[in-house]
Amino acid sequence: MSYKYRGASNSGANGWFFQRITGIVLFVLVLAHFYIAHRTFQSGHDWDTIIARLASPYMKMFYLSFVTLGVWHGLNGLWSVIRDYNISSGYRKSIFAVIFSVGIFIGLLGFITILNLPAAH
Amino acid sequence: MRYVKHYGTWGYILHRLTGLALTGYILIHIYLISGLHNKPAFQSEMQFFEHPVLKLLEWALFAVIIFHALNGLRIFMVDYFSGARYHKVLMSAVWVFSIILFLAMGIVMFI
Repeated sequence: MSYKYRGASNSGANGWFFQRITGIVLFVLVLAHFYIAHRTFQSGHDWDTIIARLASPYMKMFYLSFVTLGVWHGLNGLWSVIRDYNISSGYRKSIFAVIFSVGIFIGLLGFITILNLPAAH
Repeated sequence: MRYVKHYGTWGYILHRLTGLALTGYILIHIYLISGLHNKPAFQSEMQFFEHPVLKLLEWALFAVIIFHALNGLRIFMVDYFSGARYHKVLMSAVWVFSIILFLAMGIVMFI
């Protein structure tokens, strides 16, 4: 990104830029996610099918990316909507802290789920 | 907040509303999928989603996602591909393709 966009470190320019980049990637990932979950020979929503599907390292890589980008894009979007309403700086910091914590918590939960799946039985 | 209604204003408002809804959805979705570690609990959870009303909600979820995705693509084009020059055409295209894909998904899901 060029120097002129930097301005204040909290201007939101980085968030704006990465919202677009992650958005484009998620456009592809979400369509792939529909296809994987509903339209392939391994599709289905019962426990055994999901465990079998997620056993593949490619699936794990796919879903680790999807969780990371999806959670970041969603919460960054939420944060940018909140910033539009001119909230006083004290509240802004608290709200940011809450959003950040939710992101870390749900992101880790997603990672643990994908990397620590029970064996099929 | 008051809005001046131009041709793209509903795109702007709906992009925010669908975005907020999807953020809520992805958080709940990841939380529910984390239940995979407990097979019996997960299976009874999944039974709940077989209900016809939940099927309809799934279709509605698709509508929200496809609109947000196509409108997001429009925003990307406005920002990086001089989309402002033809933004009314782009906005109309978002509506047309969203509705077509929504109906097509209805056929795939229910027929």
